[in-house]
Amino acid sequence: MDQDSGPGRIGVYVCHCGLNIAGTLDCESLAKYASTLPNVHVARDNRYMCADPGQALIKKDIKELGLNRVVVAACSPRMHEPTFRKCVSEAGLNPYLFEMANIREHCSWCHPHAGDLANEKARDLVASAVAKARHLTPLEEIEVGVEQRALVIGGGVSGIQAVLDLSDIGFEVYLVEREPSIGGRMAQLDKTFPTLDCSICILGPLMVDVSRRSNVKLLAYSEVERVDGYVGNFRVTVTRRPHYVDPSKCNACGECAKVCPVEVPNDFEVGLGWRKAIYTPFPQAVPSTYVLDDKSCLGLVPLACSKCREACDKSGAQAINYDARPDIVEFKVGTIIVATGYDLLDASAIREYGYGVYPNVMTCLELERMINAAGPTGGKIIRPSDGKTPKRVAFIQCVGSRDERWRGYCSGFCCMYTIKNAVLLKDHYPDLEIHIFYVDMRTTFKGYEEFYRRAREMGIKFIRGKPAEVSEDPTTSNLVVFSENQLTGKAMSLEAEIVVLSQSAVPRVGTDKLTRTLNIMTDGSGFLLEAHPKLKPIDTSTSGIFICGCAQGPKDIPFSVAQGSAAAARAARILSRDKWLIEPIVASVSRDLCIRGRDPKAGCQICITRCAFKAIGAEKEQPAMVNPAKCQGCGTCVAECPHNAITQMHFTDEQILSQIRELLRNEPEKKILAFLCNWCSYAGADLAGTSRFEYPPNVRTVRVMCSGRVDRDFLMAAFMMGAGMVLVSGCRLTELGNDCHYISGNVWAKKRVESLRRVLEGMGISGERLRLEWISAAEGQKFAELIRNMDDKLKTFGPSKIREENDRAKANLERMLRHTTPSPQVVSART
Amino acid sequence: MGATEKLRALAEEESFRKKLAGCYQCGMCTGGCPVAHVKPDYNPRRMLEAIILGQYDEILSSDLVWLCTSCHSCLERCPQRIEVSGLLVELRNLAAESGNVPKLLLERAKRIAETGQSTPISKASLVWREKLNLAPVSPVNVEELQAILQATKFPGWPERTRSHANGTTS
Repeated sequence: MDQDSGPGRIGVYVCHCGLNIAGTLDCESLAKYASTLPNVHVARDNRYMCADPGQALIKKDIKELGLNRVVVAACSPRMHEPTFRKCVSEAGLNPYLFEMANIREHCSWCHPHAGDLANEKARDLVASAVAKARHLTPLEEIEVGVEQRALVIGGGVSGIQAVLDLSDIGFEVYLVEREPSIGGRMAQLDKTFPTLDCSICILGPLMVDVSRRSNVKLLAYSEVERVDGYVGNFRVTVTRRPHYVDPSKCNACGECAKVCPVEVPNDFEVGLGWRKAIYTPFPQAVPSTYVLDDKSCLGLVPLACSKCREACDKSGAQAINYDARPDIVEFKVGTIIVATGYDLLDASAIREYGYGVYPNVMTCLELERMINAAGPTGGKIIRPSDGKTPKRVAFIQCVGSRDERWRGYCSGFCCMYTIKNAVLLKDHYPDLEIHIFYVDMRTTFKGYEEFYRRAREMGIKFIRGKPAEVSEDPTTSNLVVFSENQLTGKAMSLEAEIVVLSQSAVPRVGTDKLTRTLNIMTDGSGFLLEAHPKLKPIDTSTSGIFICGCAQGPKDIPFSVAQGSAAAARAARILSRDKWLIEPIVASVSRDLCIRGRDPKAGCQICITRCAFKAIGAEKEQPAMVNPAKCQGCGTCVAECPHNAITQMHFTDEQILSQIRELLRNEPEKKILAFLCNWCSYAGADLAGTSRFEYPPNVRTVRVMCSGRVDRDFLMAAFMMGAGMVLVSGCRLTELGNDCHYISGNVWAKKRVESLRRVLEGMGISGERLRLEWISAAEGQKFAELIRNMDDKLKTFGPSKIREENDRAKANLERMLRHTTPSPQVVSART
Repeated sequence: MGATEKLRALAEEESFRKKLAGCYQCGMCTGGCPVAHVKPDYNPRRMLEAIILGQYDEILSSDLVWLCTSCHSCLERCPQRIEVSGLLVELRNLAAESGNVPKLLLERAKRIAETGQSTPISKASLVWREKLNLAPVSPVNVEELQAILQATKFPGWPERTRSHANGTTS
């Protein structure tokens, strides 16, 4: 049996689905009708096609009758397409030579009272599927090799967890950390809520573990410069900043720092303490090697000091080398995990609280370092203005968080860490009076509410109200907090000796640059965007790249650790295989048709700029090329190419135009032709059926992967073939956000439809006849309402007005389609 | 439409309703309000809450709305960018329409409408001015002023003042 030899022998199977379909449609007649369609060799109906006997029937026919295309008219392809693809491939047929007609969700369930109009629709849907089947070609899944190594970017607790899990499974892992030591924010914390474990005591062993693993390559003080490639095959370039200290020789004796004459504010101590120009960030740092900060060192160029080298040489280690230069490291990995963490909002920007103006206003992280016994004050709480121990401390919550002037979102962990810091203060200083100004206390998750209660039992006062202002009494340097106490309903003021601000968490500096390097997305707040908020919370829109921890959004330690493990599991899913399979519904550029190849001066960049996945590239004066491993198969470039040089496998122009032709074969002026994206709108129409929402049966649906695939040619062809109304529907695109599963396909669909509408109006076709709507997978009701609404509109026009408009535009449409379509006979075959 | 209905219409208007929905009762408006710190009954946050809860009559009949000094601290500070002080101006306009306006304030308004001056100029003050070599008080063009007041629906405009007195509104 030769699968490639033209349209060949098609088998059509109409499923009764018990009475789900057969209760409304005449399945026997439908099968009989199917048998009259060109190239259909056999057509049968059966009670349950998806059950074993139904599948056995298909397999038997493929073998005995030599079928080389199979169409099943049953439920939604979103339901059983995988089942039947597997079924035909078990019988030796390529799985992409299978097509489905959705006569349940899109017909029997939503038109139970439509009588023969439902049968007519089912016939059209079957004819459309058969027409597409005639043009199907066998496709092979794209196989890419997998480099069984991972890269983790960011060595905070979440990244460390991912590294250790992957290393345990047995994969080689590169860990790139920008700072001189791993540990991240957690290393700066004193204790952790709600158990009051010492933060570095539980994190330290994990950090050391990372450094001891033979299959973990730790690149600290380094940054990811460049990433090329695709899932399974990322080429990574990392720049290592020079330490100026040879880690193999440094024994961390500290003689160098003792003699260094330079002192600068210590970042690790959030500027509260000092460090030397040659230093180790904190005692538990990993790697423990000293590092020379070349921005503050006196002696590098020209050599003016060299005290540290003398001391080091004297100690015998001879580890310091002032001539060290940045080092470029290149390696290949199969997957990447991004765990870049967070920063805190600059509190001085929020002027009403006086941070940076009044010395006794401090940030939560400054307090955290002060409470820490290893911190700059040895664990003593002192007023920065006079070094005295305070008697009354006030905490202010939601500083910048939940505030449209700064950050609209809730930072999530501040309620708990403020309670934690308050509890620690109260524990160290039982007489200290503590007031926490809050808006809402958010203490969800295990053990947190109990911890809140413990704080109240300790006598910590909670005042509901967001302070409007902090001012200072210049004689005492005491602070006055002006607020409302909402539970008394009265404005109040409170004098405190220290005010601590809980600023909002913000994306780590440099996140933006990294997203461009990796081609992943951020959300409206600048945190990394997950592929799906519920079902793919660890994945990104780029296959093979995962996110975890606070880089994705503020979260506490247990949640960050859980995500680190989750990211490791998602990465291992790919790394554990030698080959990774990619669905072959990708785009490909015809070298002959691409204008870049035909006219070296053309310099056309359209497809390259449309691709949200950077899957298309082109050498100078060469045709564009799609990297199939990066292509996600939306088809936006295919629709956008002005030279029709790009094809999407399994959703070719030819296949879709043949569907349109069948769907508009009878009384097209009474029909609504709807192009629905697979992920949202087609699923929304499925839901309308599942929910039994009835709507007019004159709508005919075409499934595309993304609304971005809907070519101008399809829309023009539809009107040329006499369509009454045309709908393009995709994932929701509103001012609140964009749900497109391919990042921006619907944005291009919108531009295209809006500009074409003006062209059509110029030809005499009313603009309202081409609709663009966003329907999510949850909006079955909205889909039904939309079709009702469009049908009302269609009736207002009336068939004669529609025909008149279409006739007027026909010559122009024909001309435009002849110009742009490579195979005009596909379209003109209809006339 | 009466003042209550007008307030209801305002509160239910889509864009305003969405804006007000931002209010999560943090109390930053009240905490920074100079009036609230000396007059504890006065509480802008609770006025917003009353509008959210639809207690329109309660607000419009309260004399507290007249205490706002229009310092606009609340507007500056609101973390949800709600124009609290602007809303309070609207509440005062509607309260006036419903007849809830301090008598003295109304007298002042009337005087401005009729003479262009809120405070009568006494003969004694003219004498002092002369002694201090100050320029004579320039006369107010009442006609122009009235045109402005009419166009801006100033509550002291005679027609409106009358309607406030008998409790009907235009």
